[in-house]
Amino acid sequence: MSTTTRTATTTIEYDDKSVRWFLIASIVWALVGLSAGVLVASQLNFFQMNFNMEWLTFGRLRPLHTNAAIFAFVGNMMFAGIYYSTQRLCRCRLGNDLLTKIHFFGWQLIIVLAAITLPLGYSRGKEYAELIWPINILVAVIWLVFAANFFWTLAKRNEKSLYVAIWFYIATIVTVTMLYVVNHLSLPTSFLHSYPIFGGVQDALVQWWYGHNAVAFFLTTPILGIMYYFVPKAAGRPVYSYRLSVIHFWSLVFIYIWAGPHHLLNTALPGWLQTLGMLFSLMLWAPSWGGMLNGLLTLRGAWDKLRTDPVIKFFAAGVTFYGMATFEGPLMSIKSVNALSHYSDWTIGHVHGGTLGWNGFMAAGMTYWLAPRLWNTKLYSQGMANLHFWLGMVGILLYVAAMWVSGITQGLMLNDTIEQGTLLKYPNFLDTLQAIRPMMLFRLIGGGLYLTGFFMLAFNIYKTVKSGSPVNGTVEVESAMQEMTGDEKKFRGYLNPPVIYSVLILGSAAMLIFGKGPVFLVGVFFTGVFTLAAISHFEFSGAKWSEWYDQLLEHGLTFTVLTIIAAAIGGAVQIIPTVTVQRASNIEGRLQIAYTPLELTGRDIYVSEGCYNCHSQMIRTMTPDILRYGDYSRLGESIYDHPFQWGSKRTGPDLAREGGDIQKGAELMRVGKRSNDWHYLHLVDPRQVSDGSNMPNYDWLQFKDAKTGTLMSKINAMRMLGVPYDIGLSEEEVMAEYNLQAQEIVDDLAASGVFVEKEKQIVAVIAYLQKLGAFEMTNEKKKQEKEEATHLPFESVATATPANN
Amino acid sequence: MFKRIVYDNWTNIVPVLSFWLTFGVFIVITVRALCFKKDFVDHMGNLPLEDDTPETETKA
Repeated sequence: MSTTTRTATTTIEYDDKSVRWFLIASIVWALVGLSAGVLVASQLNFFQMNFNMEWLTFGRLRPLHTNAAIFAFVGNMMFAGIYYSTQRLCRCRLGNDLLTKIHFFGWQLIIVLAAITLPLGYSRGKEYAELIWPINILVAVIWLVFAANFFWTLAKRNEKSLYVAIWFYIATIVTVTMLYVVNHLSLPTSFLHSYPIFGGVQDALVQWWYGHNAVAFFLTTPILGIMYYFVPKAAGRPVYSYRLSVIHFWSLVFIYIWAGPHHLLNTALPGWLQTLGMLFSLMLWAPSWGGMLNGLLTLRGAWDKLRTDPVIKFFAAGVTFYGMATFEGPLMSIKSVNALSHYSDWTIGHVHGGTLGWNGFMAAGMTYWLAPRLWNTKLYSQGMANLHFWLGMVGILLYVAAMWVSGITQGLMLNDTIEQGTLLKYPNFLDTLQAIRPMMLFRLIGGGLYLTGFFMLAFNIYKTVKSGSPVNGTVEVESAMQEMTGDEKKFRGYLNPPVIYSVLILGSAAMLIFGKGPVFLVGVFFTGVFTLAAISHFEFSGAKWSEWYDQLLEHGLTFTVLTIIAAAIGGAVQIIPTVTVQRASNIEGRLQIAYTPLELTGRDIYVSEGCYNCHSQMIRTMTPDILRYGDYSRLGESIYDHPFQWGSKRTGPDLAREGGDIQKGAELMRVGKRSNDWHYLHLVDPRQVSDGSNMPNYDWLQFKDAKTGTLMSKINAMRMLGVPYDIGLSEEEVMAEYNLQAQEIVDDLAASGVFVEKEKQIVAVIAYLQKLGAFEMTNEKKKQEKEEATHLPFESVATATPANN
Repeated sequence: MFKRIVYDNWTNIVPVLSFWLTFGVFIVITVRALCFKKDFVDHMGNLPLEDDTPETETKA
């Protein structure tokens, strides 16, 4: 092996201008996102705060709050931290100035578009993935610009090794790309609307694979990278254990991705997936706490600063909240605990412990540390920053404690039974809502305090900026560039034995696992051969192999590929079987009846209004759920739902079996648990029929026409996604069916003294609600039951026939 | 519930596989981390602090 060395000294000026932009954007969006949070919290306690305006309802603003908090606030903070630290860890300027500008302005454009479209009701109906498809494409493009800029920076770095913070950034970039693309695959029906390509259980699994890992790889891994850079800087001492950080990284990246199904425990999701989700969540305890302790122990010897330095205060508390949230998360993933916590405010408390405590406090600490350095001045007021800390801390504790009490109280009340478990103790859902109203008020106060703290941060930073002038960091680099030749170059690239063997073994193992007949045998043979060859090669090559891992630290691309593999395995094992097998054509038993054109229109309005934010459509396999809502939900009963509407929170009751049979004398009109006029009154003003309800009024539904211009396009899209609509269906036939069903509902309403035109949105929404839970038995199941009946002379097939279709 | 594959049978082996898979990854990474040379660990751990030394600032 031969190497040549050249020495050069250059002065590099960092691009800190973009860091300043992202930092300011982060503060501005924090105020917007947190204010939206306080508003929606107030709406839950005081329905009047919905202002009777369609653009300001909880259902539309809650997605605005979550998207603003995650992608606008934390997103911009993350980009500021990544760009600042990566330049310094790589001792080079960011990859390309133009890419940085495109990244910044593109990201802000996305946020503005989200802030416009979400209140207008343009939504995909999936949590944290609500933005419509044109914005999704813009997000993907801008994210790739960020990725290109980041990897360009790595490519021109003047530091050989990649510090662990950069590993976390790489994991963030590659994994978020994978998650975002898969969960946003959609079939557009117009410029503003699309249907997700996955439906029912597939959509549920993909959504929570994404939703859970958005927390993991957007709200956790980049902030861990920031922790590994900024905590040592603030403490003035190196990370407690670099070895532990390596274990933390690989364990976290490998395990986190498997845990998504814990959002779907006790549902119709297949049991093996629920088990996987629960177990991997529990095993997450180890790496999460390893990382948390590593962060806290980095402050060893610097604890005295805790009394005076607000930065250290925020970092110490932020890392502690990371520990608390990552303890609570696995706890809530235990199936029996989840039976109590799921669909309740406990989940909301858990999420906010993480976002307000971990993300918010790390953001505040980083901002207070960065601002004086970026503007070459001192922080305007340490006292104000300290006061911000205590206001925020009290705010979080009030918020989280209130949500714990609220969630556990409501969960216990909803699950409480009497008469040896045969009757519900609190059959009226609203009784449980009234019980938690005081706690909802405490949440509002806690959130208000936290928001006040961030307004103080904004003022403090504004005054700091005013007192200083922007400066860019520079560094004098003596770059001793080792130009590689021969074997070393090959070894650092892809053509090295470990990578080749890994690819060959994985390829042949895939043939073994998925292949049949000759393919399977070939897979068995080559898996054995390549494994033996790898072991033999290892034995003869000696020390070189032990250097392989070290080479990863210097070769970003190889490292990135391995990170993708580590993160992708979990998703692939869970999603591929679900997508390939759990289709309508394989269902035995209950199969959902496709929506009529009017019901489909109503469903789109339901999704657009964000009703899924408060109402689930999934009766869990638990006795109290069944006693309250009806027979537990089967997997096939939502198989045509694009997107699925299983929900994650029950501010109102479950609606999975709200619908009913087609009425006698009607051709299409169904009536379920409640009459059409009850639904009408409930939608216009819920308190007319549900005293004490906190649901917003939806009275505009009776005045606005339902949009039918793209109905044919929607039905065609549904058909392409596998929903059994007739191929030869013409637009005239579709509209005839639409009008017939609407007229039947309008006539029924008129008979009850409610008069409304059939074109109005409320008619379509009622049609949809009255359809929920309609299913038919598949032919195979009917045949099977018939065969069984011939062997059971005392039982009739009729007993197994559902009354609900 | 399904015609061809009843995945619920996997419940019997999923916990064991999950454990060994995670345990394997954890052990490999731990052993590798413990084998790092001290000089290398010190260098890597100090990277965030090293950038302080030569840095100066210019007006933007």
